[in-house]
Amino acid sequence: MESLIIRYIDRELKDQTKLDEIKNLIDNDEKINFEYRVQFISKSIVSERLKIKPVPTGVKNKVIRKINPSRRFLFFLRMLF
Amino acid sequence: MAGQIERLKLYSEFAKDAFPPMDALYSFALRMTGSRKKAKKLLVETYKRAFWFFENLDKSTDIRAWLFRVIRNAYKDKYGVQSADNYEPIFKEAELIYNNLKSVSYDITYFKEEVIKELRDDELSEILSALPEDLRIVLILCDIEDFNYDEISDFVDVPLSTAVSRLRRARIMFFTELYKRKGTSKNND
Repeated sequence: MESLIIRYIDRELKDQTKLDEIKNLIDNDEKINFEYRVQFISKSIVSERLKIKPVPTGVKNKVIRKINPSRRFLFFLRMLF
Repeated sequence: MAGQIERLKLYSEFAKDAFPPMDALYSFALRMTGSRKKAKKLLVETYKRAFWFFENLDKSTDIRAWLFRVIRNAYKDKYGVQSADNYEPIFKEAELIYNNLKSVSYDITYFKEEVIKELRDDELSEILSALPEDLRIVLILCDIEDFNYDEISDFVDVPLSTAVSRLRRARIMFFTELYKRKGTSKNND
């Protein structure tokens, strides 16, 4: 039952009969309603408060510096000409 | 020089395909390592590896999913893999609290609002970082990175049912930690 509640919250439950069944249980069974709300609260707090933030410019520049071949290429060209 | 020009072309293609998911990868690295410095190192290592293998990558490959596999491997190589058995006692403690709350029908009507008001983002990050690795990773992938269950199961290399069970445990542990901290947060000072 717990796994059905989680699948329902994460919209991974596609079977309409099971969807109806789980909705009914959430509405009418106190323990299942508690499980549903705990899972839902945790999910929503994590997804709303700990969401993806832009990578800091300094970090992005560091990645680029480490892999961009043009820096080494420009140095090589300067040596040639 | 021709080889170098090819390399530049490849870099340009790589940047176009592989840079857009960088925010998501950095966020993942940050949540997994719990430190900006370590996250930066992990991200740099991931992109170095990815660029190295990019030339031979099948063009039909889902770049985002592939980059996440690269960062997973880089993380494993750097920090190893924790045993799944390690968190059993910690989870049992959280489960006990959870079952007690359930048995007394603890009122959680305003729980989320209270947590949002009382706990700062860094306190929430701390709670997430303290979760056992196997549980933390599925929570991050599902609730922050928006992976579906098949992708999560593939990523952590366990059956889908195990991934779902870990997700449930992760959310219960996260919730019980919120419960313990609620009312004792520094924001209440």
